[in-house]
Amino acid sequence: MPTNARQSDRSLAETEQLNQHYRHLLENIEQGFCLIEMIYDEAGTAINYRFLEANQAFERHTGIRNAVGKTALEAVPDLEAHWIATYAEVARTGAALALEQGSLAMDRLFKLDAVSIDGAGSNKVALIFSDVTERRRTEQSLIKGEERLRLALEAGRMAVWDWSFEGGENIWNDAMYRLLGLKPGAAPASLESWMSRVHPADLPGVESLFSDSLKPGGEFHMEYRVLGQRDEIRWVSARGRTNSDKDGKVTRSYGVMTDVTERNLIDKDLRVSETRYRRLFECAHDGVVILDAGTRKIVDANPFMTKLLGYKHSELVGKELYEIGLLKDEAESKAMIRELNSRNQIRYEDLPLESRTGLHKEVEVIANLYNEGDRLVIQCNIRDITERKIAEEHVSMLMAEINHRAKNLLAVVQAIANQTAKEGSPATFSARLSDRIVALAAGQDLLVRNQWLGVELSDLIAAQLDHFRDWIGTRVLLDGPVAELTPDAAQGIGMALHELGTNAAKYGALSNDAGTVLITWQVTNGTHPEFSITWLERGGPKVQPPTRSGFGQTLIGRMAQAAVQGVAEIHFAETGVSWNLNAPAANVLTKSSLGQTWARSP
Amino acid sequence: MGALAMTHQSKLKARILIIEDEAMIAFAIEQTLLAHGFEIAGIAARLPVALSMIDGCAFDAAILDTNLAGVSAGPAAAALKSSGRPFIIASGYPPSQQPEVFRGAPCVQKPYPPKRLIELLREILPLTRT
Repeated sequence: MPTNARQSDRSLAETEQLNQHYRHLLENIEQGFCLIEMIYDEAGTAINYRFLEANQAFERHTGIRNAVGKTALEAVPDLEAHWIATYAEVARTGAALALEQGSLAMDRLFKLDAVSIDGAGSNKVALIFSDVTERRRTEQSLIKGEERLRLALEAGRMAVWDWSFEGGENIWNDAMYRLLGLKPGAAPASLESWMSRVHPADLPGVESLFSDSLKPGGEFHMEYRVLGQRDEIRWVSARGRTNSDKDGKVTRSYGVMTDVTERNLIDKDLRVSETRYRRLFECAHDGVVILDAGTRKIVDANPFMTKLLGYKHSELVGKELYEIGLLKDEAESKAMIRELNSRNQIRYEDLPLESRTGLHKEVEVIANLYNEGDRLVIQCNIRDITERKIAEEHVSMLMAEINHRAKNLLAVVQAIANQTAKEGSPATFSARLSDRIVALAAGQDLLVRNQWLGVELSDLIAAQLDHFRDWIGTRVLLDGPVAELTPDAAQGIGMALHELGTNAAKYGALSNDAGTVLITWQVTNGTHPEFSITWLERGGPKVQPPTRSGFGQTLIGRMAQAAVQGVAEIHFAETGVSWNLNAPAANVLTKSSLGQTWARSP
Repeated sequence: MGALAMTHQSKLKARILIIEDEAMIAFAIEQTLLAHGFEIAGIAARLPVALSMIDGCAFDAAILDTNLAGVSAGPAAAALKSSGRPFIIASGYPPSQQPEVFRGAPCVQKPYPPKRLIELLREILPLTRT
């Protein structure tokens, strides 16, 4: 059949040309191409295959070089058996197969088409494939990223809005509705719905900032108040962005919004707390140092501490306690940390502290160990107890002194009682003793009021002659300069004045309606000033000198003399009793009173 | 015992020096001592007076207050010790609060029963009869 033969010839030529086209195509396509021949064992099971042909892209997609002629297991020794089984099946059935399958051995994911060459029962298979590992990874990570974003939005209760200005859909997520106090979907996701929930006071600002953001590259960030659930006022932080097209026309505005009410409250609380404790630290009248428990070095010190030690803040920071003389040495410093670790607080009493200038102070230190964020610190409160120690010593000295004085006073009372008992009738003993004790007490009052330093003489006279206070200035006349008596002089002169007063009331110038008592005192000037005081009675009944000298006379005479190391004289003139006491002013007056210049008494 | 003291012992009356700044108490001691047959060698209310009396005055024993107008009577105690004459401390301070110089001498704390003073004097004056 020449025609047939010719046709055959032509078709052979055409086929060959076509073959060339396909071959060229396969050689140059983007995908990998290879032709394989299955290898079977004696039982007819496919156990391997050999690469008969491969295109240029083959190596790029598989990583296998110079594949042609090699078997699959030569090229990839660990190749999974399922590849061989799959291609054997294609060869056996002649059915084309498209699949996406990964190879762990090659660490690649392939999308491939397998076609049997020469139909069913053939042992050759053509593979066209792509390595899609990267593409799949990208897709996976995109899916995961989107999922993550959704989770993040939900977890952060982040409200999301997305407005289209080209007639597209406006989107709010459920959190956006809830944040604005609305039920999800209960209102259109519109600008109006949003603005209707903004706190009226913040509305103008929000509107203006938002419209300002509606321009190419525009952004929006603001914290403002909205009406939340049950119209409760909530603070929100909104952050948005604007998209626009090539012509600068705004196409979209989108962003996120979160409830920052609690955060703002915490921030405010933190600010209040910081201010309060900072002030406490800055103004405390105790030294405060903070140490890093790890390095034992000072990390902060308050102004009082710098003042106490005389170091600058910058000089204190970085030093250890023993370097500023608070603890003896490094060993003691370490011991403190060890003890703090087991007890959290230590109190040291009476630690000696030396300031930079060598000034010695007694301090009390209370050290606390605690966590300050991420580090362990020791806070030492250092109280200067120098003054307190001095005061304590003073008090203890005063207590001993008071005890001594009380005992002495009781001894004096005892002496007065014994002497008073020796004279007069037992019936009047109690009254006479009481009078004398009252006289003794009157001086005490004045002394205590003046911190035991001294007694102003006119006060002493007024106290001792308290029975006659209505007559002071009329029948009892006082004349003398301001003079402060020592405690001893006050007691001696006070008791004498009391006895004189008692006698005057019983027998003398104050026993009738007309008599007077003139009490004068003076101090001479000069290097050895003399003090003198005189008691002069006039206008009383005619004076009878006493027949015997009782304890009253002793008080007026000897006791008064002894108290001031002076000389006392008493005269029983008919016209009235006169008593005079002279002594060196140094024995009578306090030092401060001695310093003054005395006016000459008229 | 010094020669002067011996002289006075021969009179069978012990002479007592009172060193006490509180006039009332000194007076009471004096009255008590006189009532019990002692003689008064003198009363010193200030330390310088006390020291000069210890040095120049004839006495057999002393009664010593530890504080004389705010000044410690320690030097007087030391002078008494070195003179070899016994003395009694009479003070408002308890013995525990008294300085070392006063230790060793019998002590009465104010206020005390006058009888106690007499008993102590008789204890520290074994050679005298009163």
